Amino acid sequence: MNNKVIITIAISATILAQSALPAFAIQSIGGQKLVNQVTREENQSSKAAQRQGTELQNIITRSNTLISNRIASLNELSTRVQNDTRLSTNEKSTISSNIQTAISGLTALKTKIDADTDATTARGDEKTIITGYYVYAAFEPKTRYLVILNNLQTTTVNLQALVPQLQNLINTLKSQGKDTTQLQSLLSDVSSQLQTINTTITSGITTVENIPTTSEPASGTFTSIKTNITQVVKTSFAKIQSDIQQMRPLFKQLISSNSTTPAPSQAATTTTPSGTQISPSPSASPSTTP
Amino acid sequence: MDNQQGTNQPAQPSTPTPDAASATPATPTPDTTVQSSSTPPPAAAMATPGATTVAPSPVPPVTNVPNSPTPPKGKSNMLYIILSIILVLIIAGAVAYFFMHKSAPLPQQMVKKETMVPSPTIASQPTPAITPVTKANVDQTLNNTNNSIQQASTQVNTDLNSISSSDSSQDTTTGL
Repeated sequence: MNNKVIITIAISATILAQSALPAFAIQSIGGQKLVNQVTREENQSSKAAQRQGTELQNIITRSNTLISNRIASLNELSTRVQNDTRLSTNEKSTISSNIQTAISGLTALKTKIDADTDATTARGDEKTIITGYYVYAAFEPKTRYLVILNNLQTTTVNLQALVPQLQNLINTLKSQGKDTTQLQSLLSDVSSQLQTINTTITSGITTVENIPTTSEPASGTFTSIKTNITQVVKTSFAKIQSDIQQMRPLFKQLISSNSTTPAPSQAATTTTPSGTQISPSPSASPSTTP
Repeated sequence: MDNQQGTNQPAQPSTPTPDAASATPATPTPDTTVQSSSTPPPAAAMATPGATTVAPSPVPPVTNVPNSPTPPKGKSNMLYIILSIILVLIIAGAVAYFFMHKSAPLPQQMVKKETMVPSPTIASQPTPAITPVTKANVDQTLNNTNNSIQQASTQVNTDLNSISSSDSSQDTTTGL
């Protein structure tokens, strides 16, 4: 009887000991290492995924800022072009179309970046915001210089149309025996300055139009254009203004004077203009304003 | 229309001829003259061969009209007149109807023309035409020209400042 009890207890103890063995195995050194490694890998992968997700979100946020800044600048540029009074309809249309194309492209790029699911693709798209448009380095200065040059060209064309009109008047005064030497000299200078301006502007427009917006322009590209505008065109316009300021009193003087005033060769035969022609009528509103 | 004419026209020669034939024995001359003037009745002429000398007598028909028993002749004339009037009225109506339909689109066309005249729209500011520079306006013209150059120059300065304020360093890919 005692033997049976002892055997039963021994079997039960063995079964219990075997069932509890795995628990003790974890407590062993090798098992603990394995668990730690698995846990570490799990944590690492989780952290990597979290980091990638954060990076993607950062890229998207940064890209949105880059794009919205550029679109705001382009819209401001578009408003400048639309409000311009000297640009022709074709010039406005072409420049505005280019601006709208850039805005549309950036808007589409924003949509793509927002939908990107991995950081690598998003980072590539983010770079396209810069390299695809060069809004600040190329597009905006290019457009603004085009506007400047086209405006100056319009002013030049209007002035060039005025020159023959002034020449006719000088010829008339000369035929009346007036000394138009000074006026003629000033008008010749105006013509000469206009030629210089026109050549510079035409060359500038060609240069600006050939600047690509999909690559970074070479340093100094716009500097030479700016120099030409400020040092050649503006200087020439200043000379024209000076000429005009000198011509005004000369015209007044010659118109108000009789033919007896320094009439070089034909003083005796010239007819005197009536006094009514002298005073410029205030109602006369010449439409030469460009 | 055709029915009216068809029923009336055959009745006209038939009514006077019996009267004329019956009247010839009593009063031969007036009736023959009246009839010869309008419609020659063959029956009356054949019946009285001796009346050929009397027939050309120029008796005024006016006196015979009230006496003659030919009110149907007047009636027939009246019928002719009424028919003519009706015919004229019908033709006039038809012509009026035709012209009304023909000229109906005209007012529409006129209205269309009026509405189609486009109001002058200025597509773009036209290049200002240079009016001839005369003694009267040369000073004002030169003054305006000077001002326009000044405005253009000021605008150039503004645009150049805008270009200068644009930061091209934002277009660098370093750090992305």
